[in-house]
Parts: sequence; C-alpha cells; structure tokens
Amino acid sequence: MKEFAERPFSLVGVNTNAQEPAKLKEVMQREKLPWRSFADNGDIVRRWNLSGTPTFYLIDAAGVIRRKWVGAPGHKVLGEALSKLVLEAEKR
Amino acid sequence: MRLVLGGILALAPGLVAQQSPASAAEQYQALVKAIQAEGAGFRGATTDAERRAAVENLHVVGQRYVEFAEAHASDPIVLEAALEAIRALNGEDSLTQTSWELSTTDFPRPGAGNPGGRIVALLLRDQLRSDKLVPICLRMSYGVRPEYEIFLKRVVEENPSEEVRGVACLSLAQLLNARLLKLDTLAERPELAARYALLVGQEFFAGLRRRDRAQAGAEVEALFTKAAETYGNVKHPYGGTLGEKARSELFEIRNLAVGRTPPDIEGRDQDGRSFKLSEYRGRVVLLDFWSEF
Repeated sequence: MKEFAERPFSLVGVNTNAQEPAKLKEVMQREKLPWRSFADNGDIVRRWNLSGTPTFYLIDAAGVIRRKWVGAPGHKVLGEALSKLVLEAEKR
Repeated sequence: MRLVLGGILALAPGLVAQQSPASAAEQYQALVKAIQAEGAGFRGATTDAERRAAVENLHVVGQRYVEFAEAHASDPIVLEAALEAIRALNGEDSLTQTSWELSTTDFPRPGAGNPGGRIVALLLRDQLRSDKLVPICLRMSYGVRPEYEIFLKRVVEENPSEEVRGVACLSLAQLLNARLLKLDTLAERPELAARYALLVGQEFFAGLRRRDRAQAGAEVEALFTKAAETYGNVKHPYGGTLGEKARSELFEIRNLAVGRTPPDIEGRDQDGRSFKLSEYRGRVVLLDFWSEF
C-alpha cells in the first residue's frame, strides 16, 4: 500500500468482532494495523448483509461501488484495481 | 447426532460386537470416522502441489459419500451421507477455484464421475417429499453444480413442508445470485472463465452466458421476494426469519452492488471518535470488513 501514500486513497476498516473501541485499539496496536476502523456492534454487518470476512468494497472518488470481493482477491488483483481508480481520481 | 451414536456404541461394546452385519448407521459412523482420521488436510495447503493434492483428496471423500448414499438409498442415513457428499463437493469446487487464483504452475481440473449429478438423482428419486431436507438445501446454496438448481426448484414445487419449501426457495435465490455475480467477474477474466466452464460443464456455461443479465437478475429478485412474502415468518436455521434474510439480500442487490452508491456508515473508530464513510468522498476508499481471531 506504500505506493498510495500521499495520493487520494484511504483504507477504511470495519471490524466485525463487536468490540468496544478501547478493545479494538488494543488489537490494532498489537497487530500494527495503521488504518482507521469502525468498531461495529453488529449494525453495519447486518445492513451490509455481510456473509463473511474478509469482504472488500472498492469505492471510487464519487462514492460509487466499483468492485467488490468476498474473500481475499490477492495483492495483484487488488493493487491493479486500486491503481486504476486512484489514477482516475487524480485526473479529476 | 454423531456424538449420541458414539456414546451408545461406547456403552455397549459387547452388544455391538455380537451383532452382525453392522447396521447402515453403524457403517456410516465407521466411514465418517475413517475419513476424519485420514484428514482432508487442505487448511495447511500453501504450495500449488499441496493445493492440487487437497482438491483431489476432497474429490475422493465426496466420491465415497456418494457411493455410500447409493448403496444405502433406502435407509434414513442416506440424507446424512448426501449432506456430507455435498459438503465435500462444495469444498472441492471452492478450493479448485481458490487454486486457480493462487497457483501459478499447477491448476487442478474438476474431478471425474459427476458426483453432483449422482447425489441429486438419488435425492430426486427418493427424498423429494422428505421433511428433513433443510440442511441439504442450505448446503446447496453455497455450491456451483448445475444439478442443485434443478433439485431446489423441484423441492419448492413439490415438498409438503412449508419450512423445507421456504428454505429451498431462499437457497435457490442465493445459489442463482452467487452464480450471476460469478459470471460478472468471469466476464472480465477470460482465462478463469475457461476453467470455470470445465467445472460446471461447457454447454451449461455457454447457456448461462447467452442469458440476458437483466432478466436473470430479475429472476433472482423475484425468488428473494417470494421467500420474503410467502415464507417470511419461517425461522431461518441460522437465526432470524427467512423474511429478514431475503430482505437483506434484496437490499444488497439493490444498494450494495457494483455501480450503486452504498448507504453511509456512521460509527465510532478505535479511538472512540465518531466518523462517517461519506467523509472520504473525493478519495478512493477500500472498505475492508475484517475480523480478528
């Protein structure tokens, strides 16, 4: 993800373990996870009809869903899709 | 069920030893035990060769359950054997597809012997009106075999139990929905499409691709709507009702599909600060649903 630093891109997490923020912070510090994450109490998972983790939604700069993966798509697929959208956002 | 049977056998070893031949249920327990002892072993598969071996192993496991079911078609145990056959087959199909994504040198091909077709033929012949089909219908919703669609449609039409019909209707909608999403993905990836065609059958796959996307999507929505309206109050085995699950699926199709603007998310982050997904408008966002175990 280093190539996307300083560019119009953000990784936003939704943690689905239904933990209090303080507990989630502990986990994220221990695992060295640097991104910002919603601490979901179950509401987000229900509304988004989540079938399992990991699930990824790639959302463009206009707020439209452009890709969706249930299960890890692998670095290559993810990186290519991201690059394409970030370039598109930079041209806007 | 397995534990209970195991307990009875353990309490009366002398009795069992004297009885021969073993009942179908006892033979089934022995088969399950033997297969568990061998271990499918795909969790640890990290190399191409290990993944191929795991796929082949799951294929053999499925095959053995299919053969057991065929040999004991008139015994109630057939439903358990069929369920395990479908579970192994789904595992094989799922791991086959995962291997296509991860492997670079060695791509497993679907195993021979048409186990999906054989197990469905058996169920259609003897079990179509059974009131114990809920686990099998649920399991089929995760699969890719063309025969599952045929079976679930017949169950929706012909099974006397409202619960079974409802679960079959929801499972059918989920199966067809997952298949449509898969076709969308494959449209962009011709190399995977060719392999997927081997998995479900060339002719069947060609037929799927000829179908009008909007029409196929409407069929899926109609099935979810039917599950919500006709079977809405039936309890879902995993919690809640069929109606709640069907409406969630419809919400996902209509608001969380590629090309849609999703609902905003508002919540607290790991520092307890409130924030919204919409704050990131203007930036590309990878929204990562994750969990920690």
